[in-house]
Amino acid sequence: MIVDAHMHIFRAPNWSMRAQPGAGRGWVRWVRWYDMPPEEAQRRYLHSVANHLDPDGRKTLARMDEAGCDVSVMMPMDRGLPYNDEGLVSITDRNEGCYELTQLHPGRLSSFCGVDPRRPYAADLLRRGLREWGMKGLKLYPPTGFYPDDEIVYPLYKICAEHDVPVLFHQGHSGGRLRSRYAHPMYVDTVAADFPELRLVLGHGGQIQGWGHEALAVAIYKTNVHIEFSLWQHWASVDELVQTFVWIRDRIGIDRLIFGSDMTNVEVSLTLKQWVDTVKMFPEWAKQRGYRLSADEIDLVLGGNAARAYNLPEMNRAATVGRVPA
Amino acid sequence: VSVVIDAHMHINDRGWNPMELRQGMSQSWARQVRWYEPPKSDPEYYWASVERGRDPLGDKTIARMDEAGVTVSVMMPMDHTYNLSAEGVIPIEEKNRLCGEAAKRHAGRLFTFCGVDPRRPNAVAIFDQAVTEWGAIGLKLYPTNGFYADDEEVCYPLYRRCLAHDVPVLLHQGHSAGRHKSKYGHPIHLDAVAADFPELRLILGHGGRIETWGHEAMSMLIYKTSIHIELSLWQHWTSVDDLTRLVSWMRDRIGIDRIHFGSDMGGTEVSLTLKEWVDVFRMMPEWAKQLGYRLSREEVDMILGENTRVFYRIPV
Repeated sequence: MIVDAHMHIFRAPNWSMRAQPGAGRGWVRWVRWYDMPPEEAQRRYLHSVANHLDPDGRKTLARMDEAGCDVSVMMPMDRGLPYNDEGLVSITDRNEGCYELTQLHPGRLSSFCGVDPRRPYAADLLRRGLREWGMKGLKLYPPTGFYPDDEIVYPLYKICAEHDVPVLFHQGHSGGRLRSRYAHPMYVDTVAADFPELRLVLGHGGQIQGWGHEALAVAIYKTNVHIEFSLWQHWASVDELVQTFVWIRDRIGIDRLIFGSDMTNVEVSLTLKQWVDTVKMFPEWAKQRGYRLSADEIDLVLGGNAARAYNLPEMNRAATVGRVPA
Repeated sequence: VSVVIDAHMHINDRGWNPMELRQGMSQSWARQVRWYEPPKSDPEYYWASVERGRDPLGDKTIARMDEAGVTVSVMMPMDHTYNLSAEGVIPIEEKNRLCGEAAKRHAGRLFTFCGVDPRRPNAVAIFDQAVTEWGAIGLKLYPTNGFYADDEEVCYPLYRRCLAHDVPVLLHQGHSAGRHKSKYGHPIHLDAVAADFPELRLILGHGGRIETWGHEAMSMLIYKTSIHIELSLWQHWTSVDDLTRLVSWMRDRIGIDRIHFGSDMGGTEVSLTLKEWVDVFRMMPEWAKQLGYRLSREEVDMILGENTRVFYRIPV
């Protein structure tokens, strides 16, 4: 079973943030498009952005089928406050829109509830998402301007603890009007200390090029913290990935490492299929480099761990794929 | 023969630390030290070794020191019950007094600092009593219980007492497990303390932990020359090659006289025994040569004991 534990679907224009002049300039630079002229990279990026809207999820399902991905978990992003919500579809409507997609593709699409904890109705929206819309957890986007260990977020953690669902945090540096300092992994460490039973997921693993090692440091010491490594496809070489996986397996535990793509139908640097296939090759590449990584361990990374951490109904199937550690 | 001093270690007994710490610490330690294989990667295995290591009088510690060739060990009592549950835990005054008793029992071999949470209203009084009556030779702070080392209101009164007593202060630095909050253990907060108290003898415990904020600690020491660094816990994380490289880097950029040997052992010998950890340093001149560095026997002797003898003013 393969689970993409962190991805996005945009059903309509203005689902996330206002288009800005220069949007995509960062991406054109930092994904692996070094070997083409800048105009060509820009053209490719704009082409994929122009085609990324997916109102009914069908494009996403086609990509999942191609990649052999069983379940994808949407992470609605509430980035409205730093952009004054101007021209954006409301966050309630976006969450409900993700819920509709899960109904259109039952068993294939799943969703977290994304809401800025500073919104007065945040707790109500989260409860509604968990109870009425079957959402699997809470997605937080701290670089919009709050620290994860700010007391304003604690009511939401209590709700998640009551419902036994995880919290995923966007972690690592961010562009535009987002403020990176709020996304430093050390603030999630405080939450882990205060809620030792709550499952916490460091989204993008802190972004390996930014605070990846800070994220791993938190996960070493806080055993309820998980690492979800979407975006690493843009940054890490195969050597680095294999070495980092082995290191995480030994020092943190393979059961807390979770696959994700962060894709939005914008397939930069790798397609979903290429990214899945890359991870599947790790046992072989590990062997070539003198390490040992088993296919069972990679199965857990690709799906079993997310199924358990997110309590996906497909979990029983995952149990037949690989050992699920207690 | 030069002295060998363990600048940061613990003795423990049942009821000295909150049980709240057990789960998170056991789970984390079972994984993070070099214990990949069962049964050692089982948290219960770790906890059993903690139980076996109970040594309130210090007698087992002396036996381990003798085996390792360690002349003196310095205890660092931890005060965890200001913020965590004090149920079933002895008062912090009592813990400090008992460490003083162990030091008296093994005079010349064991010394102790005073551990106290600076947020206690009577923190200064406890510290004064520990120094004047129970023989404490320094102050130990554990910021990841929830205070910043550069919090002027909370910590500065104690630093002033350290200057008055003319004793050093050691701070736990780096991430912590379980109910402890790592952000308070970031080394950057020592920078402000060193700026405000240039005469205060500061020592950065665990060197910021090499796997988390060790490099931040080392960078800061370049600029703040009153801060010393203590290498306990690095035995779990650094290869001999890395350690040799880092020590020679620090010798060149920071100065050999500010690097201190420590074990952090508290009856539990995880990943290496005390003897093995001492022997790693004893072998370092040889390894340095093989790696193309130069580290002299005298320099390693300074790290292993001489620096701590001078910095803590230990009468041996």
